[in-house]
Amino acid sequence: MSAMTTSTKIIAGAPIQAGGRRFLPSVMVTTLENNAAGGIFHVKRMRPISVVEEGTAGNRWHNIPDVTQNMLSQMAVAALVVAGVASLLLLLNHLIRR
Amino acid sequence: MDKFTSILDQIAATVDKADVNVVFGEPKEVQGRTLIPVAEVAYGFGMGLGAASVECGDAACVDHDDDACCSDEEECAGADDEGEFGGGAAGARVRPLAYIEVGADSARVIPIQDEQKIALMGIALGMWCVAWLGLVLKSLFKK
Repeated sequence: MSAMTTSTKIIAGAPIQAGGRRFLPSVMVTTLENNAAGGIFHVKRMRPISVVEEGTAGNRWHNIPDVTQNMLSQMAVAALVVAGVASLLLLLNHLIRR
Repeated sequence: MDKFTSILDQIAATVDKADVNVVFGEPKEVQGRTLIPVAEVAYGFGMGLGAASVECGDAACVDHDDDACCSDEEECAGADDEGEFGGGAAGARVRPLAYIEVGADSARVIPIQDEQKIALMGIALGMWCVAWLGLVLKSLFKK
């Protein structure tokens, strides 16, 4: 009865005109849907990926970074490393004292 | 059920409007510079619908031990009942990621940091490190 579907696509947005140039955006769209007999839910996330600048001198590609998410991920990795090293030290200390 | 379908149609129409072009905002002229805001957009909704009916012969007779209780039309009168119920919720989030500064000869992407989130995570990471350090030191200097 329940049909949960997920999909991820990269979609080109409508071109943007600014400063006499044209920008072609691309967006990653992640969708999670569930259509069950008695209820439904639908979640969609649209994350900008890049923008291509079309000018007279040629095309330039600009990445759009998620600085906050990158920094949080690095901190999470640091937390795991600290926990790993500390556990190793505790284990070594335990083995030496035995 | 028609109301439910109607609500679904309204939501579907709203969702169609929220296409990928909402991620990149309209270019704005700010102090002689052209800026294009860029944000991550997420939204979701969910709803459920149920129907219940009380028919003579089951729920109406639960309190009666007499099997024939509902055979009497007088007792059945008003016992048949049905109803529909439902609920739903929706939410959306827009998080600024960057803005594109369009200059005279080139454009550049300037990322936006969520300082509050990073500061909170930094404090949590600091406490985490102190806790592990305390455990290690306690273990090392234990007699």
